Amino acid sequence: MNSLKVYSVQEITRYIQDLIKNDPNLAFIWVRGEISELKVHSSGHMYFVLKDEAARLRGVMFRSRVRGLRFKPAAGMEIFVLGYIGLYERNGEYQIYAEEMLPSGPGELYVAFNELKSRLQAEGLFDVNKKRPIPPYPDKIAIVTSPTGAAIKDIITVSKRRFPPVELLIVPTLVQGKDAPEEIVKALRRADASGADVIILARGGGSAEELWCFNDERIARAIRTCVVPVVSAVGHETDYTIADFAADMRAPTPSAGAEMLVPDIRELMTSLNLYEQRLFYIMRRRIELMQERLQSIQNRRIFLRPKEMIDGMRMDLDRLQERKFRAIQGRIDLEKENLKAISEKLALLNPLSTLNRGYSVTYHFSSGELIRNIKQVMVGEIIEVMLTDGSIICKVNEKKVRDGIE
Amino acid sequence: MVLSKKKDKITFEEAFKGLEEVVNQLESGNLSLDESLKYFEEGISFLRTCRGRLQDAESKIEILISQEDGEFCQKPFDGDVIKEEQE
Repeated sequence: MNSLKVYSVQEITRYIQDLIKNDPNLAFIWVRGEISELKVHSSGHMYFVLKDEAARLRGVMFRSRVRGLRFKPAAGMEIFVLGYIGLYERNGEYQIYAEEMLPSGPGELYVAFNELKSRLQAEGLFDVNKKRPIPPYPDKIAIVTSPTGAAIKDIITVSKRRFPPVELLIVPTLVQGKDAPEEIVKALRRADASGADVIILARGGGSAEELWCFNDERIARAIRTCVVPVVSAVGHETDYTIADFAADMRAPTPSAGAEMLVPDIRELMTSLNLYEQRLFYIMRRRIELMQERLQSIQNRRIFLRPKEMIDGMRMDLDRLQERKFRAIQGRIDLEKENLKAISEKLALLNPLSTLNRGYSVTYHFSSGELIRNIKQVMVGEIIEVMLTDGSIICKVNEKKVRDGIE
Repeated sequence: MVLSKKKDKITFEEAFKGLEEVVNQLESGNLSLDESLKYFEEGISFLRTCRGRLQDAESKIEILISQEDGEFCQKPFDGDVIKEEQE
């Protein structure tokens, strides 16, 4: 190369591109590393970074190849990539163009994540029945996040758009790095005590490493000890963290979290209008019904021709009175007949009528006891003999047994 | 029971639920006219509370700041300030 010549960026880039392209050592190679910053673009192409302790290598796999994969690559996995190294002119970056990808067993972070997840799961920390209900119309939302991040901006924008009088309280914290978990735990406690109805734990998108602090046992426990429900909104749709599993609800992104929590004021206005219509309709209907009932009562005969009704009732009364008299007279006649019949029977049975025929009845004078035979009296006793017109008081001189009677 | 609930400041959620219940009660048709009127008045008051909350045009966005004495206080949060800090 001529050292005096001035190259354009494109020219020198093309030159390097050719060097790489023509190097047989870079044309068909296997590279091993941990996959990171994995993104599947809407076009279907997959972008990623392969890395190990010392270095990083960008990579891309085109849609046609992605389709042929027999496993689902995920951030943190250790993989083998087969492909060639090329230079992407626009970015001035070399990268591996992947033809094939094989899992070589999970990476260390991936193992640690799964271990923690199963341990907390076994402990019941993620139990569905422990999830607190999310209030449908929170008055105040606490946001645990970085005050300078993308997440807070998104949340504020979405919240204000959906519900202009929204009340938000930002509880600032670090959201990446080794001190982040401790800070997040403290911020969660402050948010819990702030009088908010619900808490969002939020962070914008980032690499798996940047989001790693949300895979912390302390955060999971802090979420579960909050009194107020906690919604996690960490990273992008495809990022799952331990905080997501521990939270009462997971939002795929911070914006989506705000969409879920903050009610849409237009919808609320519409339902309020509907309720208002229903309220007035019911009351109007109710009053109309009462009026109809009143009208139908007013239309009854008693109100329209009251005299006619009263005359009718008077006649009824007369008729009833007549019937009553007839019934009573009939009863008196019947009773008279009965009485007469009984008197006649009585006259026949009256013992005094026997006395008229000359018979008499004898009693002990002192006790009035009826004397039926001579054994009942003793000589010298006073007895009373009753006749038809009076009695004779006698003294017993002697007793005689009638002949033939012993 | 909605009618017996007395509270200085009821939340939007309580008022909204109250309204819902009042309308359902009224629509059930099991109330006397007097009761209906009471429920109706209560419904209107819930409706006013809800509308009032929706018409508070200003949002309230605050940030929890730690002070020198270690206590925390809430201060209005201004997104622009943050922007400047970032730049």
